[in-house]
Amino acid sequence: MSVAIDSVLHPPARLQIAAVLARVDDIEFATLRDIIGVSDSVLSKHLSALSEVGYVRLQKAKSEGRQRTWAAFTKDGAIAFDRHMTALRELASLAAEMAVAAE
Amino acid sequence: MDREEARVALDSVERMDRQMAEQMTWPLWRHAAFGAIEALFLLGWGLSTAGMAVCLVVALGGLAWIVHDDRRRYGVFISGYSSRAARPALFLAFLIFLAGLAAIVLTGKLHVWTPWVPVVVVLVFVGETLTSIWWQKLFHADLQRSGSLS
Repeated sequence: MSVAIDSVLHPPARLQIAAVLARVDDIEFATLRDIIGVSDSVLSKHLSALSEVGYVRLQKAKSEGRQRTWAAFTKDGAIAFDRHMTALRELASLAAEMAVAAE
Repeated sequence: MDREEARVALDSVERMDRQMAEQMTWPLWRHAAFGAIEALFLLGWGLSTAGMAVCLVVALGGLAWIVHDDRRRYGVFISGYSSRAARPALFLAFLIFLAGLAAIVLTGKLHVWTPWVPVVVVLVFVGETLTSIWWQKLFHADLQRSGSLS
């Protein structure tokens, strides 16, 4: 395999968060939570972990009298996600090739 | 990570993309708002300098409003440039604007009102609105396709 699996993006919830962030400019915490289908605390924990390694930029902004958190991929995060996806595809296609060879 | 885990991970990304495709659909008025803003940018070239300044301010305000409204209404902002697969629609939108500008120059003169200006502006409005709808189609198709890459 030419590209390695990224251990930060390995947990399923983080990969799902990354998959959504890869498609948007930025997204509000509650919207992301509803798409992923996790609790506030779980999402908060994973976003903090992604933010600590510099993959995600978190920004707080006041809107309609409430403080809201917005999440966006950093450039490093987007690159890491692309690499991780390439590694996953290589691994999965290798499995498919082996299955064909075994037939 | 083994191969089965990789497959499961890719399936979960595919699920997210499909869910995004279902949720990220903008109404017709939102596409028309984009068309109207582009048409307004163009209209300025057919008006006096003062008229152009007014069009520019209103169009820029409209753009800011669209970004704000998308964030408030959908909890997310996706710019036209963010989807690589949908960029052909973005380039087409730019070409339509340039064609409109060329039409205004060819049928009269910049900053001079002629009967052709409203005709060109309406055509650009329709073209830009349809292009925005096409952008959404390309965006959705990319989301639906991403899973099949796995």
